[in-house]
Amino acid sequence: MDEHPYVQRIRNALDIYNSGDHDAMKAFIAEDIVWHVGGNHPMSGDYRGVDAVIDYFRDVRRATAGTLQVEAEEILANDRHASMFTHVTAHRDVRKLDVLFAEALTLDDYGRWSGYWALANDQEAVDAFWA
Amino acid sequence: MEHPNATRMRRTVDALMWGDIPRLLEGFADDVVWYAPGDTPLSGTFRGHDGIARFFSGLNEASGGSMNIQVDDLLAGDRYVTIFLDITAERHDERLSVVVALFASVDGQGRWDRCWFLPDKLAEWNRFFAGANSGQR
Repeated sequence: MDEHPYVQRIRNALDIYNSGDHDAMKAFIAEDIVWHVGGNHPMSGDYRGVDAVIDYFRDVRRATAGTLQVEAEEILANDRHASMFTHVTAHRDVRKLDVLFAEALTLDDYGRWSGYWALANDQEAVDAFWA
Repeated sequence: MEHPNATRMRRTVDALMWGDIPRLLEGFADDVVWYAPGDTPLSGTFRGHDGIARFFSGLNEASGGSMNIQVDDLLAGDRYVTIFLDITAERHDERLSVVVALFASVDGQGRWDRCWFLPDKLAEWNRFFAGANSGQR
């Protein structure tokens, strides 16, 4: 089965995210995106609009001293939706994060991310990491 | 032609729509692990066929049988499937309307062995199912 072109586009976005070039991430995100962060920790909540989401990315990178890395195990996409299974690792002082996330994306007419929500296989570990 | 895992997932969701729990469970590995987010009695990790049955019985009971599930979209690969479901329910004057992304990984026998059940609007989900009964955990 042929890979949808948005799969490679998401791989490119993750490479850029991992590099910390957050301004370049704007090309992948719709202006009116709603980014839901689940769990029960200080980062949890809804981030509305591309600027709020980019600020959230910066906060995450700052809090983890640039150690947070997202590695895709699998990316599925069509014209309207994408989903990813990602291995996420990070350090925060002595705390370590090493979890598998299931991540869902809605896409706008240009393939930009317009909605995001996710769940980890160990949400308590994520909550403890950010507590 | 549709990916065989897409066809399998449609069969699973069809059983769910009909409330046919025995047929639903046929699609899952015996040791399936089911992750459900949020802060409700139906949140957390459910294991095995008993866990899956408890999760859906709890949803059905808490929604007074009003839950409506429509398939919006489906993404399938060799190892993983994601189905996007429009789910609505009503109870007294409360209304639920969410998109659930259901992720599943496939074992060697074509059965779901790990699943993530993700409502997009978690706060709304938490409110609606705050008083749900999860059965014995």
